[in-house]
Amino acid sequence: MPTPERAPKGNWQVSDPADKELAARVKAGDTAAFTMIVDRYKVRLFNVIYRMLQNRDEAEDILQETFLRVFKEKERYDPTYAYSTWIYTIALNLCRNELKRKKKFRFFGIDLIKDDRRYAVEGGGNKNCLSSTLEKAIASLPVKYRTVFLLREVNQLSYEEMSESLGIPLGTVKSRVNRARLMLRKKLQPKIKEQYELSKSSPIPIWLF
Amino acid sequence: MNCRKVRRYLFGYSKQELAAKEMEEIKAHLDSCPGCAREAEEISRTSLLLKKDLETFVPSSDFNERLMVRIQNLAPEKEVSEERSWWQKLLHEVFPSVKLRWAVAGAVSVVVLAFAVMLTQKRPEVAPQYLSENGRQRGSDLIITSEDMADSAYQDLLRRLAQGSIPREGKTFVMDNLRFPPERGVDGAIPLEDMYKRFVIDRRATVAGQRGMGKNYVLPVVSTQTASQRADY
Repeated sequence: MPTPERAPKGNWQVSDPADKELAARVKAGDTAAFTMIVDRYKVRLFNVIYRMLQNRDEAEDILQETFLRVFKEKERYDPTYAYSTWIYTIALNLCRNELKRKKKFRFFGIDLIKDDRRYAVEGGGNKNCLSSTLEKAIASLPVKYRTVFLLREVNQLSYEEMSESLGIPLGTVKSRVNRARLMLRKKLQPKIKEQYELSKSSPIPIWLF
Repeated sequence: MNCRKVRRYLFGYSKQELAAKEMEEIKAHLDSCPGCAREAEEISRTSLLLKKDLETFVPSSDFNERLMVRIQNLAPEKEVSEERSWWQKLLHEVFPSVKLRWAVAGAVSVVVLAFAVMLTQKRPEVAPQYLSENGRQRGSDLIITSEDMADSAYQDLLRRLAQGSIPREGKTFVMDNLRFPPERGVDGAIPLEDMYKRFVIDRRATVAGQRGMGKNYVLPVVSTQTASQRADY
């Protein structure tokens, strides 16, 4: 069983060119620079988009679309902002539109939201079932709380970055993150207690596995 | 700080996201409040679990490949767009959506086609009917397309009258729309031949011209009416 990769933060070398430099090269049509950008962001974005849409194929489509837009609209990137923020904005807007579209279809009685729980199998086999419980709990958060939660907990964005990418005030971002965490905690509380009791009785804390 | 406020910030506290002052205040509170301290411990356990148990998913291995194919396919499109002439740019500005452009193109071609059909259709040289002055519609017996024809048409009509293919007996021919000669009335007192000649040349030419039919002369309907009918005419 492949070990799932951990938090993607800092998965590139210090010697790699900075975002802004790459952005300038992409603007000039440099596809090698573009590939570097794709490799730098695809995993991070995928983990958010996947959890937003709950479907692997759709998440990949949206991710493709995101990078396609990044390339197509490269002229429109304003270098006074962070490149990452701009990319996140594109991805999140696409995500939001997709969710809206699905909701509309569901309104007409066609359920496009296929809960694909492949991830519960992919990585959760060797673990206690918390992983999927956790994912379920995250999936059950309302979209606006889920978004900020994922950006914060999965991608470790700063509150400022989130505020810029989402176009909402800093204070709102902070309170939403806090709210999301509290909601999640409420959903997970019984599970966590159980885990804790187990880990106390075993010599090594179970969540380290 | 009271317990309620502290509990609201415990997540931030456990992740050390708060300002130094707030961190200290909360720490002070936790030291003195066992309830909140228990809560804080639980929250930090939750944070830890969140951190440990969130898997990282990776997009499929051919993701880059597929993306680059799509990017390559973009390239020629881009060149074309740069070569657009001013009217193409204008078109793309005014109708940004491809669907809309097709719809407009369709509508324009339908209109052009309709015009073409209208123009190529042979216009009748003279409208086959005209409105009499009292508003009733009449058909025309004879259409004369030139002044020279008037005479022969007149002769022809006379011949037909003589042959009886147009009934004459016991009836008075009333020339519709006859405004002249007023001093002699419209009641058939004028000899038919006379009426006809003058009508054709003077009257109908004017009417046809007014109605935009060009230089055509129309012989009006010769309606047949009995004398009694004519009385209330």
